[in-house]
Amino acid sequence: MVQALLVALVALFNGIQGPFHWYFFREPVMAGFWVGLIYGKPVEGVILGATINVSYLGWISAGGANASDLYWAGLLGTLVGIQTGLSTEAAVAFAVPIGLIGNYAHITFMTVSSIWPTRMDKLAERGDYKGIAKLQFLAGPITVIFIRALPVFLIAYFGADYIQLIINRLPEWAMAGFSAVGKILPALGMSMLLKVMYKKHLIVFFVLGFIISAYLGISDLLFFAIAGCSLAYLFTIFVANKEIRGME
Amino acid sequence: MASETTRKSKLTKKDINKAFLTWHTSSHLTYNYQRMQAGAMASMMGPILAKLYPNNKEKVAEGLQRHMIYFNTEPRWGAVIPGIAVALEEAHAENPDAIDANTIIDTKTALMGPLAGIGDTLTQALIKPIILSIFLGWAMQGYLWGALGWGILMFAYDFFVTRFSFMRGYKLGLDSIDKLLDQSYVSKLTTFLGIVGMFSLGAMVVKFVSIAPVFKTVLSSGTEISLATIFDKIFPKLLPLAVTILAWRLQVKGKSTSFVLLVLFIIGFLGGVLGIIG
Repeated sequence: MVQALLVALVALFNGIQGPFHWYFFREPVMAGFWVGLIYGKPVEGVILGATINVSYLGWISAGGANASDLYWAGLLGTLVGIQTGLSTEAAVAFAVPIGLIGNYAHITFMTVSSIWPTRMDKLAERGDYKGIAKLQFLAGPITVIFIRALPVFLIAYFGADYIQLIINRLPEWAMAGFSAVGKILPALGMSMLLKVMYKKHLIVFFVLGFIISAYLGISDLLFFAIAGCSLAYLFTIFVANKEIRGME
Repeated sequence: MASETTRKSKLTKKDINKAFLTWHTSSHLTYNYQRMQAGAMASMMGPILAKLYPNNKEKVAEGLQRHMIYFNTEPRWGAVIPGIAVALEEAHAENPDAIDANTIIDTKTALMGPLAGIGDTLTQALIKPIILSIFLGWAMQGYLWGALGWGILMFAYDFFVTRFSFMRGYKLGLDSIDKLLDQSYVSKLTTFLGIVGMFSLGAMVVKFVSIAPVFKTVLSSGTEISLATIFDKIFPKLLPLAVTILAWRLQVKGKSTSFVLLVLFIIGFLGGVLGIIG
């Protein structure tokens, strides 16, 4: 009960829209950390959260239109993984579809929140700026309690046994299937990134990064960030800016 | 005791700081389809208007209504717009003939689109994935600071970029926008980060997409031959690259991410069940 309440609290912070909440609660790696902490397994939580997070590396929210819901994928994915002791890959396979369902929570939030501007208009007519600010700071989080914290509480409190039951009954071949899904899904995150970063004249750098890692076995991404900065520095110095624009 | 800004102004540094903090904390709190970030804009402008028009509730009300109109931009680099809006409100209060109310509305509306484009590219498509991928690598190995480090660094980025843009917008007013929108500067920055991003992305495919062929055949002599070993000798990590490219092409062709997810799910599940990949 206490744990389910705490998870609901994390779900509240996870759903509130603001920079502090985005970086410390929404991103699956952090959601995983908090859920793990609640169940006394912070390290497992971080590993699960981070692995789920990879599928959302290219996640972009533009104008509130999200591809999928990283809020619940991280939170509930870690919850399921920790409560049932699933392998990390299988947990990812469960997390991403949860994210697809969770996206409706975001759409609901933005729809319900459309009530507030109409109320604010009335306050604005009266010059009640304190009332507007009060509404702005309170209405959002209260909406999140109903849309995100409450359902998560119900799932954490009542759902665990059922999920465990279902997972226990899964035959071995199905687990092999889910495990493979977990290993293939990060490609979704990579492809979404490729879509937003892709520029024809920069594809050579993608190839370069791939072959260095694949053939030399280097996998430390800090190495690639630093080496990438050096390459970018050389490229922007030696290739005139005009040419870059010409190629775009 | 409050220190004055360089302009002769009714607004103190404290007022401006408060406006910045209101914008930073509340830009998306009631994010909605009807007006997007208008509530944050009005909340931020309220105390400013109250200070500019003491004992004149009508003027405050007029100002609030000006800022309840639809507004949506990227909250960090785009913070230059609320900064400019405060400067314009101040100028309007001093001399309504020089800057009329419509100028304020037009400026906001004209700038929000371009800055959303620039800001989203820089933050969401380049800087965030680069920082996140590095920390995820550590977090997946079970280091707690891989998670916390990400949060702290990204929050710092968010805070300082928003602060920088907001203050620049306020100080320079409309002049600041030329510098921010300077095309050669923006294209240089996005090219630079684009190279770092694409280069890292190539390595990320290898690091994060761990699917591999596991198909084994037993020869008549009794020795097992693993397809994975042969595959790896010819072209290491071909399978992760192939599925990534497939998923990317599907999206370029206009398929939704949900569809791509379904395709990957089916490929993975069937491959796993049949014991071909894992």
